[in-house]
This record gives sequence, structure tokens and C-alpha cells, in this order.
Amino acid sequence: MGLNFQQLVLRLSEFWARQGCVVQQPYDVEAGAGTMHPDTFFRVLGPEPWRAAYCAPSRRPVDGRYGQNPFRLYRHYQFQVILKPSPPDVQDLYLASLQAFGIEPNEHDIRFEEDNWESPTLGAAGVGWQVMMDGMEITQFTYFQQAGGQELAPIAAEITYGSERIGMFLNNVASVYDLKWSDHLTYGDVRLQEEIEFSKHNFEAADVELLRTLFQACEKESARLLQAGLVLPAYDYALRCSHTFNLLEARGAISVTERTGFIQKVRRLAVGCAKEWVKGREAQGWPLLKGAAAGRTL
Amino acid sequence: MSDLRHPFLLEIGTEEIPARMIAAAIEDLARGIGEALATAGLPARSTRPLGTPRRLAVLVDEVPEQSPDQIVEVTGPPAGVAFDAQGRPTKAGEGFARAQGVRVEDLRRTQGPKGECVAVRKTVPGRRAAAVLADAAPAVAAALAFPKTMRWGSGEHRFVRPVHWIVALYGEEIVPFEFCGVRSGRQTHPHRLKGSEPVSIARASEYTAFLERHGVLVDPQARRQRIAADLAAAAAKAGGRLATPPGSEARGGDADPELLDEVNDLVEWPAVLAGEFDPSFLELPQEILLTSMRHHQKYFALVDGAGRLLPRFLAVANVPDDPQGIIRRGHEWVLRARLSDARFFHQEDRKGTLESFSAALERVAFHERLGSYAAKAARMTRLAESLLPAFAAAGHPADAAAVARAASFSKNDLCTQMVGEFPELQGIVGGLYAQADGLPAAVTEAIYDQYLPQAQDGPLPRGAVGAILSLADRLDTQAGIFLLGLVPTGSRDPYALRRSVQGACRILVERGVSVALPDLLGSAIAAYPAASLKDAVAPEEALRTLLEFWRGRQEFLAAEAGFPVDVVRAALGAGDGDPADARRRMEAVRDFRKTPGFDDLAAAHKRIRNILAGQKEPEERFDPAGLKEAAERLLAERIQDTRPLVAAAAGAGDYAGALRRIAALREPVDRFFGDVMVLAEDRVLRRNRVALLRDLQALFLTVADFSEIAAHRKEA
Repeated sequence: MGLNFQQLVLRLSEFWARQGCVVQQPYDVEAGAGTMHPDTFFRVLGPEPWRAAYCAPSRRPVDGRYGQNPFRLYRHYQFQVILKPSPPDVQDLYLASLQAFGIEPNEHDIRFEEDNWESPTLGAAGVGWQVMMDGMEITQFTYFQQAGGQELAPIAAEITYGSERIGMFLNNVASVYDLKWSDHLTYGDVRLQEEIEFSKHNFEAADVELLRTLFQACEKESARLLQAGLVLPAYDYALRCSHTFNLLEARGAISVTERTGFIQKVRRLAVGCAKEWVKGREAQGWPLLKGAAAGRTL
Repeated sequence: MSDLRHPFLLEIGTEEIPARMIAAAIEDLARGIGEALATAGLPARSTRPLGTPRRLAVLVDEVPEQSPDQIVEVTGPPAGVAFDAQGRPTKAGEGFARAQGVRVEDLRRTQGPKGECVAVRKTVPGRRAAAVLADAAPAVAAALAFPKTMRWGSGEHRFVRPVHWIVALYGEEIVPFEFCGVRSGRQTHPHRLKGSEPVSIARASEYTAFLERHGVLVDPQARRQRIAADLAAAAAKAGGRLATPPGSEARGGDADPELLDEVNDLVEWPAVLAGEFDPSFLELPQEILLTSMRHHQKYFALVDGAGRLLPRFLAVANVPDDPQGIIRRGHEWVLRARLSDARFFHQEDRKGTLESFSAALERVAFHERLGSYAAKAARMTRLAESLLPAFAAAGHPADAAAVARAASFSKNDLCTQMVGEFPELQGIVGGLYAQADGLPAAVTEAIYDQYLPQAQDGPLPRGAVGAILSLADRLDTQAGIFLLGLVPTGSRDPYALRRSVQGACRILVERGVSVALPDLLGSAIAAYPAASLKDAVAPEEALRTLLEFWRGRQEFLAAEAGFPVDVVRAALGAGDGDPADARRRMEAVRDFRKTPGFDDLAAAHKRIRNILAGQKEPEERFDPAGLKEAAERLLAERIQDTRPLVAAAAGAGDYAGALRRIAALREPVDRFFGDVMVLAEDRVLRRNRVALLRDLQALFLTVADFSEIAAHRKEA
């Protein structure tokens, strides 16, 4: 029997902690991917080195399946690692991390197949692979090239493990809900009700008018906070815009012509936040480039 | 100069390069190195492109050790400046000799472009191959063009993927240079399974054998052959043969050559593994199973002798073997998950009919500036209806109700979960679901076939309804994109409009359907609410550019079909608004041009065109009574007699017959030009003769503009 779900997350955290990563906790604003966590979105900008690892609950309203589909979830857990600058042995490190949770890379067929990534809402894009193990995609591996509309240097490597899939594979289970979360409870015991209720909410119950109002209010507030120089609070509101937009889309409330407009609005906020963040760090003299901090983060 | 020759090896070791980019990259690398050597006077016997996902390489045979010495002449000041009247060197002459490092006595006189000047002849010693290669290799590598490149680490270098090592050996000698921050050497890396420690290559000649010992088959052709052979053997062992999934085409003995190419460039050391899946999945439509296996998993599916899918698959792994079956079990687990997913999508999709997706179609964007697929389907329905008479006239009658139904549901499958998962099944899923809904065969078949033809010479839709649907879809897309002014240029054709027009053109030509393109495309353009389109070009401009684009594609297809360029131009020159008709005229002209006297006819047409081109006389009918000479009266009579015969033959599509009638005019035409002065002084006479020639030209143009025909068959 392979590791249960929580052991998997713990082993990954331990492995990457040993590689000098800040082991962060999930961010508490709804987001669609681990990339949107401020510890990725902001930290990949500018010259400061950074290493972080964390489990990122990722909410994707349109992927909800009322708990009926054995592989698709409204909310799944990505395990996210950011290494900046990308070390030359990053692929070897990644392969070593598989051993940490019981996969012997030499017994499997592990391949790096082209898969580039782009997030129009974050003004971000990267080049990389989906890592396939015996035909299953287990990881997204990306070298960030742009974020917040800026060309990046140094370049960060982002490693995003599909925790549920890996867990299912390790335990040879056919449904995510049968995956052992702990020794006593399954993923279904812990999360099924949430999937059912949120699928109903996202597709049927969410109040479209309220969501539209929310989007506008959050957009306005984000812009206002940014004006006031409060980058991180402004970004929280940009994240709320993004999630609200995703909900509107799940509700089928966004027309073809509206869609681009929504994405541009969120992008404008994200790009604005990125710009102000870099200015702020520069004004502080890039704190993580200095003395002991630089040594520690590398 | 030495006659010694040695091989040169260049290997750029990287992280995994996208499979789709490898073949072109190693070809470019080999060509670049070959050209650089030839330019430096070091022509190699052959260059061999080699590579895997982790290495781009070229092995060059027999590079000469040293390029030959070259004698060059350097010219200096005019002789009159370098030497005085007595022929003694001046200060200027001495200065030039000093600058060139020769004695004054060595200065020669030579004839320069501006008169006599002094010159020195110097021997430029040949360069060592290693030195030439040290300059050329990094330059060629830097010039490789990839569809997408990246930066890594500090971000200062850019390549297709991070570069980790470079092997550059001339014989046994390292060719020293730096590329992307990496120094060249003799260390390469084995297959990942053999560890991450580098291994050293002693000499270039050992390269392929050395890598083979280290788990890497670096020759893509050898690798592909091995995979193909192993696949065939494994298929036979499993009691089947490889299937050709929807959207793929068998070629050169390979059931799915594209997939084979792709997996070939995903592995360094291939092994074919055979797996099985639960036969209960076979209840799903075969197309869905095939695509499910191919799309994400890159598996080769197997069919039995009758073409029925077997519950088995073949996977190509990047490992030498799988002794404990761990990898095979992994693949089986993943495929079970995939097929369960497909079954789930199928069940969900089939909770309603295909028609029930119509409402959701409103929210699917056809193009962000051109509105939804619901609007597209509505336009297609009207356009398809307008095509009915043309197809009926060509002997392909289609049921109007079936066409309307097929067109209005044609895009509904874009809302299904199945197409969401497998975009390449668009159309096919709609067809399958329509069939399950019990819609008439003509409708389901048309929806299924609506994206045909796919490949340039791929099959067309089977029936008339499908052909009409495919045509309506293509014309609508072309109209929309041209209205946005997004005319394809050079290599930029993001909406694949060349393929779209070629497909439409093939349907018209191969089904023999005559249309008036300007009207047809005009109404496709008019179907868009042009006024509400942001930044749209004027409809007339869209029509003009689109017709021009069609003309180009017609020329291309005709050339592909083997028609000589002048025949194509001649036929299209007499009208390019009806591709099927133009093709029939091309065939007639091609066959007829071998007839004796045809070139004279072409020459006559050219002469007429030249005369008429210079004419400012208003167009008017000629007056037979105003003709004076016997030759012109004869010609007028013969034109008069021939015209209805040509019209009748052309009307029946018998262009060979029409050509025979026209060719029979050769004699009176020759006599006319022999005896009659067209541009006579007498204005009335002149106008009449010009009008007569206009009539004659119009008659010629029933079939082709013969003045385009090159007269290279004169002697035949």
C-alpha cells in the first residue's frame, strides 16, 4: 500500500524543506491555482532569490462534478514548489522528490513532454513540461518567463504536483473519493459533501447579480488600494475578482464578448500589483539579496 | 596542406526538447555546419543529423584537417602615386608596402577599376578545421530557429531548453568554444536510467556506438524503424494490427505515422509494451476509444481482421524493458481512468439529445470578434440552403430538410463534454450522437463528415449533405476572417485558411459543382452584421481579397494536380469564379495543346490581345456590311457560324469540343492577319475590325486565355 494523502503532502513538504524551501501554508483567499499564491506571484518578480513549497487548494468552479466523477474536482490540492533562480540540477531534484514518496524513478517510465503554460489573467507565461509517469501526468513543470506582464530574470522553476492523482496512482484506487486521506478516513469522507454543495452552488445557486456587483466592488477596491500603495491587500481583491469571474463563468452568465473584457480587468489589476511590488522591493534595496538573507535563501 | 580527414561530432545536451521541434532542429544543425565547412574551403563528405529529446547532434564525415592556402591580391594607391616619374617608390608606395608587411621591391602593378595601381600578392594560409569549427559551431547553434525558446537560471541565455553539456570533437580533439554558458568538451550523458554522471567519448567516430552502449539510440531513423518493427511484432502477437484513429492517415505502411514520429522523438531507448483494458469499455463508440488512447496517452490501438477494436493497446516507453510489469500496470491503470472518464462524459452527454445543446451554443465563441457558434450555425444553415441548386445541377441532389437539420445541429457537439476533452473528435461526436438520437442517416453522416477533407489529399465528405455542410462552414469562416482583415500572409495563417479554401475548392472541383464564387462569397460576407463588427474592413474589400485568395489556392491545387502553369493561367484567365468549370477548361486545354496548330492559335490570341490593349475605341458591335476585304468577311462569317457551336459545346461542359471548333478558326484568322490591316486609316473600317477582333477574343475566352500559353511546343 502506498502513502495516504496526508503522508504524501507531508513527505513532499519535508523533502523540499531540506532543499531550503520556505514551507508555506495554503493562502486563505480563493484561487484557481498555486501560482496565484502571493508567495509565487510576487516572489518570482525582481532579482531576489526565493524558494518556497506549499499545498495549494485550487478552486475551479467549472470543474465541479457534484462528486460524481472519480477524477474531477471543483477543488483539488496542488503541491507547489518555487525555486528561483532555477538550479541547474532542478530535474534531478524533482526526480529525487519522487523517491521521497515511494516512487523509484528507475522502475518507471518518466518523461518530460512539452506543455507550456499561460495565464492571461496574471499576465504570466512559462515554458516547460507535463511530467508523465507510465502514461499519467503527475506534475506540471514550468520555467516562468513572464509574470505580471514583466519579463523575468532570474527565472523561477515552478513544480506543481497533482497530489490527488499521485495518491490514487500510489494506492491503485479508481476513484479519488476512495483514496485514503489518513489511516482512518478517505478523501470522500473528508471532502465529498463540499464537492456536492459547491457544484450546486457554482452551477445553479450562486446569485449572478450579487457576483456581478462583487466583481465590480472588488475591482474598484483593488484599484483604490493599489493607489494607496497597499500592494498585498490590493492583490487579495484582484484574486477575489478572478474567483468571482470563474463563478460567473460556471453559472454561464458571461457572454462570449464579455469574457475578454473580464479577463483584461483582472489582468490590469495583477499587472498593476506586480509593478508596485517590484518598485517597493527595489526601494527597500531588495532585502533578500542582502548578506545573510541571500545566503539563507540559496 | 595535408590530406588527412577526420569526422566531426557536435552534440548539444539539453533538458527535454519538445518532440515536434527535434527533426527540424537537427536538420538545420547539420545543414548549418555543412555550409560553414564548405564556405571555409573544408567540404565534408556527408553530414548526418542525429538526436533525441535530450540531445541535438550532427556527425560530419571526413572533414579535411586544413583548408588550402589561398592567394589574395591587395590593391593599394594608384601607380602614379606610389611611384614617381622615374619609377622609384614614393613615400606613399613605401608606406603601403610597410603596411602590408612586404618589401618595396615586392610591389606589383595591376589594372584596378580606376586605372593602374600597385598591389601585393599574399598567401593566406589555410585554417585548421578545428579552428573553423570552433567559430562555426556556436554560431550555427545560436542561429537555430525554434518555434518557441526560453530562458532559465540567471536568465541570460536563450535556447529551446536549458543547455547542460556540449560535445565537440574533431577526430579525438576537443573543438573548444562556449555556448549558452557551457564549455564544449568530450563529456556526454547517458540515458537517465544509467545515472546522472557524465561519460567521456574518446573520438567522434565512436559516437553512435558509444551512446548505444549507454542506453541511447541517437539515430532517429534507426530508432523509428526499431519502434515500427517492435509495434508490428507486438500487434501480431496480440492477434491484431495497428489501428488508424480518426483524424490520422495511414502512410508508407504506417497505420499512424504522425503518432509514430511523435513517440519516436519522446524516447532515447524505446520499448514497446502491450497492455489490456476491460472489454466492457468496448460498448463506447470505437472513435471515442481510439481517440482516448491516442490523444493523451499516445497509445497505439489494435483492431482485428474485421477492423473491430481489441481491448488491447501498445505503448512506447523510454526504457529498455519492464521486467516486473510495473510500467505496463501503470499504463493500464491510467487508461482505465481515461476510459472511465470517457464513459462518464458519454453518459453525461447522452442525458439529452444533440439538439438539446443548441441553447448552450450561444455561449461558445466561434471567434471573439465574430460572435458565437450559434450565430455561425444559423448563417451556415442559410448558406447551405443556397447551395442546394448547384449540387442538384451537378447530379448531387440533397434533401433540403436534411441539409437544414444537419447545418443547424452541426456545431452542437462543441458543447459536449466529449469534444471538450477531445477537440479532434468535433463533428464525429455530433455524428455519433445524432445517430443515437435516431436522426436520418444523411443528417448524421453529414455532421460526422463536416470537417472533411482534413489532409490536403484526404477523403471528402461521403454524401451531398456532408459536402454542402463542409462547404458552408468553410465559406462562413473565410468570410468572417477576411471581414476582420486577417488575410493570411507568408507563414502566418493562424486560422488555417489556406487549408479551408483548398478543402472547399476540392469539394467543388471533385464533385463537379458549378457556382458563381463572387455571389457565393458575397452572400457569405453579407451574412455577417458587418456594421457591428469592430474594426472590420468594407465588405467589398473583404470580397476582393477573398476572391484573390481563392484564385491563388486554385492555382496551387491545379499545379499540385500536375497542370502546367501556363495552362492553369490560361484557364483561370478566362474566368476564375467557378473552380469546377475552370478545372474542366484546364483539362481540355492541357489535352488540346498537343494538337498541331494550337500554338499558332495561341500566338494569334496574343496578337489580338496586344492590338485590343492599345485600343481606345468604344466597344460596339461590328457592322457586317462595313467589312471590305474578303478575308475579314470570311472571318466574320466563320465566327458567326462557330459561336453557337462553341456555346453549345461549352454549355454541355464539352470544352474539348469547344476547343476543336475554335481551333478550326485558325485558317481564317491567319488569312485575316495576312490580308487585313486592322488599324486602318478609315475610322469606320478600323472600328469595325476592332469590334470583329473583340468578338473573336470573346469566343476564345469561352475556354481559356490562350495568350497565356507558352509557345514552347512550336517544333512538335
